Amino acid sequence: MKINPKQYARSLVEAAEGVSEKEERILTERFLEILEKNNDLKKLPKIILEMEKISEAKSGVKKARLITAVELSDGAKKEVALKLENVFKRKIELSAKVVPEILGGMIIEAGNEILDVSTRATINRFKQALSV
Amino acid sequence: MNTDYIIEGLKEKIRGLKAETKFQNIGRVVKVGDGVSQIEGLDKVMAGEMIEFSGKNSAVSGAIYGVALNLEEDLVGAVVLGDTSNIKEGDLVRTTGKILQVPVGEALLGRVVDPLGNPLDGKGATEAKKFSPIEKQAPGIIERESVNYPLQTGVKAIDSMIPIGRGQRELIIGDRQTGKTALVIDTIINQAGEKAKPVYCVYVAIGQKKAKIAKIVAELEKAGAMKYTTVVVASASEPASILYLAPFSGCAMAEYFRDKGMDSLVIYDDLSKHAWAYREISLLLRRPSGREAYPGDVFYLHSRLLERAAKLNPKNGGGSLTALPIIETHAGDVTAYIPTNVISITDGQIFLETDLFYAGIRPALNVGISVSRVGSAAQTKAMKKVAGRLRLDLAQFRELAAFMQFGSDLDEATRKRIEQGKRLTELLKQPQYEPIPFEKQVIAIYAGVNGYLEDIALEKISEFERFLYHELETKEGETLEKLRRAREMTPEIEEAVKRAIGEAKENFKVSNSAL
Repeated sequence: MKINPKQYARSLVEAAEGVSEKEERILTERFLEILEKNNDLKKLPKIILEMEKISEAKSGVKKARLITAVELSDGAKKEVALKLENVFKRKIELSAKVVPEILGGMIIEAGNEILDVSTRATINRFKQALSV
Repeated sequence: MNTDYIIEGLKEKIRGLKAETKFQNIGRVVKVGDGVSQIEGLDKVMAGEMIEFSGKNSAVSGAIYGVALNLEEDLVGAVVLGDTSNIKEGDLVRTTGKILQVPVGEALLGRVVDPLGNPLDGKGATEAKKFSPIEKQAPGIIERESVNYPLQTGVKAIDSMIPIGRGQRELIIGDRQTGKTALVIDTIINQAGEKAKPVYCVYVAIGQKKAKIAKIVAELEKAGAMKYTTVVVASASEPASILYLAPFSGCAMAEYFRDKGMDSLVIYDDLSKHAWAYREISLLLRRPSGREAYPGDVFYLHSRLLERAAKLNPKNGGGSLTALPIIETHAGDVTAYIPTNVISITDGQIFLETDLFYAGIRPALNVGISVSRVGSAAQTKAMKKVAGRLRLDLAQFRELAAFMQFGSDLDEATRKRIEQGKRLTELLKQPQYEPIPFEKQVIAIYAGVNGYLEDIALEKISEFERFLYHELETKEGETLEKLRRAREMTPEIEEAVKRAIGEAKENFKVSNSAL
């Protein structure tokens, strides 16, 4: 029977709920043994990714990425994080990246949602509209 | 003055752009290839929604679109409407919130476009103002009425014995090279004569050679048919996703006229290749396959397409959409999966046979097994009068066909029937690109079934027919006009017709003996 990484991750997280650290280690070992038996060790990186997603969802903190053309001040970043918290009704953990190619404005990536108000995107929209 | 107009146009376009400050649902490409793609994320996408791939060069060459067809637990399976070589793993994919739409309207007439509405004829962008989704619900039962007005194909054999009405679905089925496309092109050309109630045509070419399509477009241009026709092209080199969409796009373009209370005709050439393309996409999307490896819903694929052809009642505008799907069989096998599916959906079929074609009977219609379930409800009174006799005479001729070998050993009555049948068969032959208006057809068939052709040599029948038409045009223009207007053979018109045929025969004999 084929088991995908998401199912593996969920099973481990749910099994390890509310156990002591020592028991956690034993459970993890057993989990790895099961993976080996099923010949699914190569799925481990994806399983770890899925586990991170689950813990993120559980902790109620949403990870978001802020991409700007120039570095923003800490104050500006805090403002963005606050506005996002209003939108998503969850605590936001903001990581920032500088990508000069977007020319201006910002792009916010949060999970499966993206908000693209960069200058580059606006220029592209103009280009598309005017080229018809 | 010109620059002002351009500037105003640009200002309008810029004003029309609204800033979008809302979150878009995104996903990332996990797998891409063979025209399909698996995407992770995109959790808010709807089934059949258009999605946008931001691949390499998408800022330069324009966005690549796709349609989300498979919504699985963790992945979205989508067909890519474009070149997949610009998309790589990890690329961003956005939802657009739109179902696939195509431009529709009068602006499409005279144009050659692809299934997404992009122009292919080099005449610039289509100035279409209206867009319509390609997947639409067929009209309900209450909105329809029964078919009651003929769609004149201009082909004698069809208009007399297998008449097609506006709002009907008539299948044209036959092996390769039997004249299926020739029939539909003649039908389109014949609509040039329908000035009172015009028919707008959409010809959808699915999986055909570009050279063949170029030839068809050239013939339509020559006949002046492009004025009221749109050609939707998904040629053989296009990806399967484009072939899959082509008939739905064509139907959406023709539906525009139906919903405006006008009559339209849509031709799907051909649905066999359409089913192949759908099979290809389904297998690539790992959908379970059934008979002949087609997916389980291949019947629904064609039934939902063909149900959109309808005759609407006056309360809903009174418009109509007639569909002429074409199916190609192999070795005359009409019991294969796709042919039987489409036969059960349409309101009749026209069988074209290779044997008849090579025996010189062109159009190679097998009248015996061809059927139009709408029948005489879609015929003018004039044609109804002569067609009944025609059918009977030909049916009797077919039964006696085996006796033709005996030649002189037959009784007079049988021999006469055979000679009559031979002449009628000869009369029903017709060259390509020469559709005949119904009033001339009625007169020619009238001459045939009432024995006027008895004393004309078999090999001179088609020559006489052309002579008769010429005589009618030059000397009996008024009678033709009266017949066209009245659409029935009143005693007055019948007298004029009898006279005309008699005179034409005399003149024909004279001109023949003079040679």
